[in-house]
Amino acid sequence: MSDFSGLRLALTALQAQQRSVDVAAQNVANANTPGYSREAVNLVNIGAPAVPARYATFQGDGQGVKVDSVTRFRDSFMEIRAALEHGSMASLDQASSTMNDIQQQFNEPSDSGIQQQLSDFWAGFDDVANDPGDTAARTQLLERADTLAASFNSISQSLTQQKSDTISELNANVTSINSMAQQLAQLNKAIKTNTVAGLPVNDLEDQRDLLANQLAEASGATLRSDDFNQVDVMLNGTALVQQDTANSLNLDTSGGGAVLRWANDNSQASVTSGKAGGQLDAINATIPNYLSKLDSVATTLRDQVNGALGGISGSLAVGSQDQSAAGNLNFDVSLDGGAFATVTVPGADWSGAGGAAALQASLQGAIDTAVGAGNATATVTGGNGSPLSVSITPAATHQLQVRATTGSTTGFSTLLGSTPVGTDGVGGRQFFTGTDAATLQVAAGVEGNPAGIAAGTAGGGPLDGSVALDLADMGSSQTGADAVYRQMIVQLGVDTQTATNRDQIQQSATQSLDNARSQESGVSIDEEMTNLIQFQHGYDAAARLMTTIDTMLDTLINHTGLV
Amino acid sequence: MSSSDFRIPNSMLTTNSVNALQKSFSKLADLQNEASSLKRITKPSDAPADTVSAMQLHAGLDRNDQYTRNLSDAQGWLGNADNALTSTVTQLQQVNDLVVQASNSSLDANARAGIAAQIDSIRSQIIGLANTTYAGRPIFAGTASGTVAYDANGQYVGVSAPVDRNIAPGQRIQVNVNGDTVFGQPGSDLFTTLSQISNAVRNDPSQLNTLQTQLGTQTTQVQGQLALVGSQFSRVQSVQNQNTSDGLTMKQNLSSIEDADVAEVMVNLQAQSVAYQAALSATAQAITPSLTDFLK
Repeated sequence: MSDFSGLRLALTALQAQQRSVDVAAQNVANANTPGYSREAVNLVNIGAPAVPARYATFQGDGQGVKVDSVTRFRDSFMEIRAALEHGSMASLDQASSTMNDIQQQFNEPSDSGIQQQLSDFWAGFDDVANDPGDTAARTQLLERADTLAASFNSISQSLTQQKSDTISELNANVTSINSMAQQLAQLNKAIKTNTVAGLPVNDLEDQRDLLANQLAEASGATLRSDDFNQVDVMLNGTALVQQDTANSLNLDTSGGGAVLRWANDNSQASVTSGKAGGQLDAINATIPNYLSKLDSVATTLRDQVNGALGGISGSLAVGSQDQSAAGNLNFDVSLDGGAFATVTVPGADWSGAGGAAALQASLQGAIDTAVGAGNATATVTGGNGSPLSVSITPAATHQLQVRATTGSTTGFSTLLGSTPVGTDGVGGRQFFTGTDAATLQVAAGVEGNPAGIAAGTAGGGPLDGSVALDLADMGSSQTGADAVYRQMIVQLGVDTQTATNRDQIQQSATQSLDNARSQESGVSIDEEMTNLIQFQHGYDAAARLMTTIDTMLDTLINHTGLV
Repeated sequence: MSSSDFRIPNSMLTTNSVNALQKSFSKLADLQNEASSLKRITKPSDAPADTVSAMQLHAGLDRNDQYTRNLSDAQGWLGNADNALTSTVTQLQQVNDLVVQASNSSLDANARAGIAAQIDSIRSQIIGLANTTYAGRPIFAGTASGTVAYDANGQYVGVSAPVDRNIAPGQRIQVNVNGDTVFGQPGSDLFTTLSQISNAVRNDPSQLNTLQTQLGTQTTQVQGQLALVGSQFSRVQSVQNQNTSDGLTMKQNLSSIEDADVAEVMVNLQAQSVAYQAALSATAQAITPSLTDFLK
């Protein structure tokens, strides 16, 4: 061993301690950097050469210390799990916020929600029934009907708006997914190049892992380790990023909903988790589901009210079926709001067997003459000792209005006495029109025309309120709009509660996994301080070693041979 | 250097503290919301089943309010009918007395003309009673749209049909009696009889006997309808009591479902506020120190 080798040994020690202090300093500096993984120096002692040279001598007490590598503390399997959990959390966050937004639109229970407006609407019919001749009561009822219809329109619009807002958000999200995928592929490439060249890749891997996690959160993708420290990103089996190649996604909204497609072959990308998965679910399932539930409340209401107000029917009791002495029975009909045409049914004796068929044929022929064949169907049942039931049904998509022929009520009230009519004498009008919640409105013939509300029947006298009485009670119907609406609200409550709970559970699961990751990779200041002190002492000792050898050499060089 | 399961990095401590504080603060916010609105349920997800019960009770209460209005309307109709018919019966008894008086053969034509004039006057009074209105509608005219049930000549101009009111869930009551049911079918009605009586008193007292019997039958008819009106009236009153107590019950039920228990909310709010402050001060103490504070 050479006299000077101790100096070299002390130098390796100084360098190793210095490097260790540097790494500790890097850890402290990045204590709060997102995605940073703490590092530690791997020191090894320099021992005997693995393959000794022929005449080399080795005393066995070592040649000092060297920095073998710098370890990065990151568990790649935990990263893969973290990507799953974060993706799932992002999806549940989205589901929960979607449900909460929907819930807010309905504003229940309150004094201004649809339930209250339904109650007011039905109560309005009682007021009309109490005083059928009072225009104020009728106007109030129309106002309430307008308010109710407007509420349906506005909630439906808000839900549609929420859907299109979510589509815009998804669009932004897809743009960010594509850009992150590009960056990730570039990082993969850099990592591979450096790894092959034997250069350190710790910082690149930190950036890449952070990005991969964000990408998983945004898209619900899963991660997979690849060669040369690279990471692949998979969407249900198809690669979004494979090594240094990134695919990209396109948003397709042509089908009314939203679909993600692969840019390379336009096939559908299966995205079921992550923020994108949550957004797709909101756009394609959750919001349309509540829109259609609201639609069914609106159409139930429409059918309930129209069914009670808009029918054309009547009956002839056993004693009054012989109308042969009555002469012609006349009434007017109008198709789809057109001009009224007179229907003439010659009075005959319909009391015997075949009476019903005869009346039906006669009525159908007269109606066909008035409004054209195929537009309305007359049906007569019963007779021959029991009451005759008469009804006229317009063909689908058509509206048939009916009224007494001017100057006479004969015929109309005889044949179609239970037809609900307004104080203007016109029956068969629809109260609500529209095909869904967005288009529900008070029908044209009734809107602005309080007299058009059919509160009574054709045979019930001018101030008959019997139809309005029936309608006032409809709020308590077990199959009516109120019941359907409440069913929807209970479903809404349960769905929102479930979404919120699932989100909270996933949050704590994700949090404990993040804690585990943090325990592995996070910087502890205390630990770094301890390391610093330890390496500082190491450095001090190595410096002391250097001084000692220096002194020894000084003794050897300057003081030997002197007496 | 080995990593142990118990490493607690600083960032983890901060994240966990912030999460815990946020949870605690969100609980506090919920309680504050409950305390300021004093409602236990402010959205369906707070309690889905209770929300629907609350909505049903709200709707039930509204319906109950409407029944209250309908009942007071029904009471008006029936009360007026009761008064009108009671007066009619009294007047008819007076006519009966006058007929007995006129049957006395010792009366001369002048005296009989005086009695006939009285009967005519009573007749027009009864026509007035038959035209009694409630809220602008003649109560004996059925569903007619005119202002009277009988014109000045005692001719029935009503449209006989029931006028009903919804007074309780599934209960409907007829609040009118039709003129022709009370006073008889047109042609053989009370007013025709009274005209005939007045005529007979003037000109032919011998018919009075038959007419008196006829009058008696028609008075019985009015009395029968009066009894019917009375029984309907008392039914309305008993439903009214039921209506009031139903309303109270529903309000109580609604309150127990929907309203927050003030004492409980206040205590919870206070407790949560203390807990939040404790969490804040614990966090402040926990995240500040590290080894750096103690190294020179």
